[in-house]
Amino acid sequence: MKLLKPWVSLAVAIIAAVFIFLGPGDHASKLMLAFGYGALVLVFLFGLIVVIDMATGKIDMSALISEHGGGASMSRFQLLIFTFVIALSFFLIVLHQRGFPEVPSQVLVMLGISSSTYAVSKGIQAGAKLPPKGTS
Amino acid sequence: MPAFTTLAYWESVILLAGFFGIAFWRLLTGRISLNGLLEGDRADGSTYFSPGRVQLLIATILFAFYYLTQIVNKPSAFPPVPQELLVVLGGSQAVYLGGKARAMLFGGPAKLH
Repeated sequence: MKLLKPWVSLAVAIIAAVFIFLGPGDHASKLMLAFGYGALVLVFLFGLIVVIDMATGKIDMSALISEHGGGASMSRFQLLIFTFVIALSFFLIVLHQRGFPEVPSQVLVMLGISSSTYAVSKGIQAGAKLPPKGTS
Repeated sequence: MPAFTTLAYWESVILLAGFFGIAFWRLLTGRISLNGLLEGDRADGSTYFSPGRVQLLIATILFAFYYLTQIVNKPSAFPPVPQELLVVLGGSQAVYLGGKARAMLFGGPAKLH
């Protein structure tokens, strides 16, 4: 049952592509369009499966920003916020300029700072061999 | 069949709204736990209220708000991040990491419980 949804998604994407390919027009452009629509449908359905599983609780998100020993992690929370901000910005820019935007180095530095903090924070924890929270 | 760009647009809207909406809803309802977000850890497993985490939380929220405001006002390209803001963000992270290292290596502030 678990494997059914991805295969159904793939079948729907192939049907959409075949449907486009059987339409009017020259073969080269139809093939390109069919491939595009097929990929679009497939990515959407895979994404939808993840969203539905998140909504129904099949994908457990309770420990999304938790540290190893329990308790929320500030660095994970920050990375989550920055990921949301950059993803939303990316979507708005693509929508506005209808093309792939150039990512300025400052944005990469900002994400790098955040990710490095997470890594260093984990390093400090590992170095101190922290027991689970609230054990003392 | 709808136009390719229209389909791509609505698919992106649905998926992004789904991911963001579910994550934010779970954060708000506590199903993604925020317990201990402002508590630092000591090497012995005990916790303390961490000002370093508070200032990092404030810096993160302010930065996210600033960047989103910029992008909503001018969505033609990624807005450049001022050098000063990067320094502030880096400094904030350094204070957080310094506090964490201090707590882990030297025990941190006095115990609350």
